[in-house]
Amino acid sequence: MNYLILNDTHNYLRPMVAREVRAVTGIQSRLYTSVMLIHAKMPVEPHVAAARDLDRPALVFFHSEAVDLLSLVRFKESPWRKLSALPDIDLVYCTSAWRRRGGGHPPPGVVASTLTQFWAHQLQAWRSDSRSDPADNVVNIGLCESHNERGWQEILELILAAAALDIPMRIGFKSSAWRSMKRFPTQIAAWRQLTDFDLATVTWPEGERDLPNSESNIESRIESKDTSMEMISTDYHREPGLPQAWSLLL
Amino acid sequence: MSGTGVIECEGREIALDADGHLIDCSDWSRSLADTMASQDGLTLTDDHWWLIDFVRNHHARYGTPPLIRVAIGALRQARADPTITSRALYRLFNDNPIREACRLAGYPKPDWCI
Repeated sequence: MNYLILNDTHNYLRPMVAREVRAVTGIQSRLYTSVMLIHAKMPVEPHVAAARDLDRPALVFFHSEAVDLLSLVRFKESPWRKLSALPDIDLVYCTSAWRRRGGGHPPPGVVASTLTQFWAHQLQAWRSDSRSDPADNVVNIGLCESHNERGWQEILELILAAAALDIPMRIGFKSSAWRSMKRFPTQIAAWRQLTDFDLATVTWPEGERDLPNSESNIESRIESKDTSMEMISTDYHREPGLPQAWSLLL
Repeated sequence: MSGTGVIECEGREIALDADGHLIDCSDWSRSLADTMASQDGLTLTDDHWWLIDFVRNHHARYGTPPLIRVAIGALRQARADPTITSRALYRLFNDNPIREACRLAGYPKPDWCI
């Protein structure tokens, strides 16, 4: 079984950790035992500690605002630097997120990657793990925070990259997340492709159905129940090994 | 991909970026797309135009290019042929069909790593 450990005890801690999985990286053709997504740049120490505790070889993928941690100046004094020196942990970053934040040369030993490669590692893990049940292969993404427009864009890209590989997903909005997104009509429009083309199942809390510029065909495909969020919360509090599906809170 | 800085079409010089995409999307026209394609030795057929128009419609509606699986699904529906695969798109543009369709549709190079 593949599973994720969710660490989202407060607003800044959002790593996703896949353990007991194996994946072949497209970068170094390496077989990974663990894959971890770092989406937020704070707090550093718990993220580094979580990465250090991964079963190795491990891949740590920096996405969204977390790529700021890899700026040369910041990285030089960062605990991530020590981790990058370990031979069985690879640090990679999302090239798009990196470019949007100025680009430049990454620190030595940190390698460019893509969201598609990130999910490809996970998909490979599903296929290579003989204990994996196909019924488990659903990614649950819970959206529970306010994000700025670029944050919403990059979460959508993370989702679309999974959709590009036909990975089934359930996306659940909490009220605060939904209210946050409604401030950005451009993002609302972009996210609607998830439901228009059945790329994911999207849910949000009851009473929050006033989708701006909504169309009947979209409304009919979107579930109004909040069950996915309940499920995500349940999974989140479970001990490693118990969740039946992959879950991610952003 | 032409990769030139300027392309001439119907007596106008139109600026391109380093990747051969229009710098100003409002410069786009169907004849310009034909001209851009011809510079690469390509004559646009109805099938090419189906994909270019699909990308333009998707971009206008969602602000992003479509995923290739979305384009394939739409093509299957348009042709009433459930056996169509990604090969159909790669026969049109053998190097990243969605990105190339974006270029000929007048849109910037997709700003993502999908």
